[in-house]
Amino acid sequence: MKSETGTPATAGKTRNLLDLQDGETGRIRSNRDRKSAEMGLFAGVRVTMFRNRKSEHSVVVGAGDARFLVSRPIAEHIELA
Amino acid sequence: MPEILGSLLCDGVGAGLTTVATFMPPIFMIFLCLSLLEESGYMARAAFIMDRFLNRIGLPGKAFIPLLVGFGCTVPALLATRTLEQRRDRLLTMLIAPFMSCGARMPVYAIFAMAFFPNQGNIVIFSLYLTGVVLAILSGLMLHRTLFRGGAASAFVMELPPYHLPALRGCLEHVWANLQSFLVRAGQVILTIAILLSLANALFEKAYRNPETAFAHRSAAGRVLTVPLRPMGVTGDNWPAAAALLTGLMAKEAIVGTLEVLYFQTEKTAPDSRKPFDLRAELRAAGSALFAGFSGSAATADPDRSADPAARQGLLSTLRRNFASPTAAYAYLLFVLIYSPCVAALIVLAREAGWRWMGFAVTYQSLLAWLTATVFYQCASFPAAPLRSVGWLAFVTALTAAGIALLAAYGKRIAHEV
Amino acid sequence: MRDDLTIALAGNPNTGKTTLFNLLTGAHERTGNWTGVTVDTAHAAFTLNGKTARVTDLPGIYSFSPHTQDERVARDFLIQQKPAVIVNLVDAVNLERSLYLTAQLLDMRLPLVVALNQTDVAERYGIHVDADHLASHLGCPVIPMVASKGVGLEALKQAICHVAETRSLPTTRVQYGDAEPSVRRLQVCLIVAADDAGVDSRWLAIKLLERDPFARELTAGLFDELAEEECARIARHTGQKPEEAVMDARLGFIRGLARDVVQRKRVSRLGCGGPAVAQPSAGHPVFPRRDVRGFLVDRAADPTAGRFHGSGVERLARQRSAHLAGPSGHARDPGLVAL
Repeated sequence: MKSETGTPATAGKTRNLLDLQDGETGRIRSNRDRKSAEMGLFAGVRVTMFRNRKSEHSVVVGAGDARFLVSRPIAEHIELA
Repeated sequence: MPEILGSLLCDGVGAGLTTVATFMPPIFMIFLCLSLLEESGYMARAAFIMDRFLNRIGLPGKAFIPLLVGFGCTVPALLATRTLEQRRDRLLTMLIAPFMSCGARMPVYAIFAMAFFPNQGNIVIFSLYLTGVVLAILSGLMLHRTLFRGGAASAFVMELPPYHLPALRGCLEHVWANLQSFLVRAGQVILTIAILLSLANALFEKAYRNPETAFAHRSAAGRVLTVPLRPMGVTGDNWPAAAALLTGLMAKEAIVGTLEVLYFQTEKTAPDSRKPFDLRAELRAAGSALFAGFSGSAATADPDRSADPAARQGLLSTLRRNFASPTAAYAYLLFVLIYSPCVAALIVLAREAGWRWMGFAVTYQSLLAWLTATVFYQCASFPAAPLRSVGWLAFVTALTAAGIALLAAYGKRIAHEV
Repeated sequence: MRDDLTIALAGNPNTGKTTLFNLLTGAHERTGNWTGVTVDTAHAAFTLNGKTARVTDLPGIYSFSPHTQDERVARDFLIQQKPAVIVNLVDAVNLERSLYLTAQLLDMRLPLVVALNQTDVAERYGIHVDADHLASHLGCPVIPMVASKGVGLEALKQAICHVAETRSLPTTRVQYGDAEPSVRRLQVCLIVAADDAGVDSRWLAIKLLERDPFARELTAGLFDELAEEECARIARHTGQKPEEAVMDARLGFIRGLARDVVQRKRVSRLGCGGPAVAQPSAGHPVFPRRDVRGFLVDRAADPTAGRFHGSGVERLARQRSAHLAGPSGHARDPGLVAL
């Protein structure tokens, strides 16, 4: 069973959605962006990164059974636990 | 007079409607494919792919959906922009969406292709669609740098709905509803125009007592309409073509019908008025036309073997007589492609963006249509009349430069608004 | 036409709302709606118990914030047209997300019937939602349905009739935790203003605290100062902006609710139709593949996905993933229920 991966939160550095690589999962700690939070990316939700390429302007994440296209500026402000 | 009215209705209106109806199959396919794409959930993924490209003109990938919908009909495309959160994105998308050639323009392309490009009809029509897309991109780029300078590509979040098998029945119902409104609107507009024109005709004749003078005066009035279109290749005698553009403002489906009616009036030919009405033959002809449409052969059908041989051939040869060359025909088609969308779309645009933006859209598109058609015609007819071509091209360039500068200046002023 | 029954359909996009609309109305009059994204309202009518019922399909929205046009259109419709019944389409597969809108509808205090849709798909994924329990939590009827197959239609119609005739309002009100005292204080002051505007006073209080421009318009700015005072109080007390505090409380309510009514069984993904997802590789969206790995993670070890009936194995799995989430994980997370 794949477990949560990625750099664990080190003191002083917050992880955000963009830190997840393809296939990694994380739990959202806080999301300043209201719209995406209302759509399902709110605090406490486990998200899975499906596609994160530096050259692309947006990333594909999944939360539960829903899939979202999130552009980088917004993804940057979604903090992960 | 009733006889004239009767044959006007049968041959003008009837033929116009048949022509539009003949192109229902390709229009149906466009709507069906769009509907399937959306219902299956694919559109959202396409938005992801297009995000990269649309960013260059400052739009989010989400804007791709309204643009694609525009290939069916401009009205739902304008409505679909409501999913864009930023007003600036909405405005820009609404301004370039009409360049995605809507389904109602298709009959015009097809008829002209049949008349002037019987062997390469497909390529010609495809080139028109492509030109629409290219102009949309270029307009988007230009507007992004000038009028909409203030904004940057906005951030967005979009849900990707799960793929599911589209409900065929639901799709078909949607498509049918759209087709119905097309036909109904076309019918209404064509009928209204035919009646108005025959009334005007009758009035003219009554006023002048002498049919010859009436005819001459009416042609003179018509010629005035063609003056701005001369650089595009529309000659003075071809005033029905200019008038058709005007009625095209009401509904693009009406263009072909108007051409039929007006050419018939000017030529005073009544191809079928003496033929007895044979229901079975008509039905068979209608059926074969529909079949031809579905099997994809409508656009390149041999005019002699088409559905309503006499009327169809009549229109085709009339077109060939009135347009100086295939080049002029193509220029005309370019104009039809680009200029202002129909009244229904304009009303929606006014409702969604405000009257000023609607006015801007109409002006911008019509001007761009004229510029493009003129440039094409002048370039293509360069060998024939070099001096005239150069003159017009220079004028066009100056006008374009002035226009861009104007937009840039205005863009600076409203930078805070959008 | 006073005898006509007005019904509004509200719910998230992509939940089969339009399917329900067609089901209810027989899809005979689809005027005013165009192919594609439902961003305009669609209207149709059908006969219910001898009366004409006019149904309006509102645009699919996630919440009633004032930010986008479709949300404003939906909100304005509900406030101005005052439909006799609102049918809130809730997706059994994505219950928590759907409930966000429901919570806001509860705030607005409007006659509500919840249609719990896609129960068949939910069962396939091993998600079981206890409709009766949910109904008692929400204080309004909850009808399990499968709109695409017509299951539950009669029950829904009966519930609509019942709510319309008795004019019953949902009995539950979302409690706002730390913001609750401020809500109550404001509410008392707003009773008359709310009555004039034709809205619920508690809802108006919450909206003012959220600094909603629409609420300010409704009250003609008279209560702005008072609202700001309460906002400042909330900020001092919770360290958060009032909008965030309100949202967190809402999410907490939903989380608790979902935990109580949803049961998940661990179900093997292979062989059942998982929700298909685009797994783009090489830049091209490919057609659906099942993401087995992703779902085993989600379902088996995600404690926020709902309570497990379970064996010690599941509890262990939860604890292990909680541990992996890191020490800074849930303690500070207001919306997350303690394990």
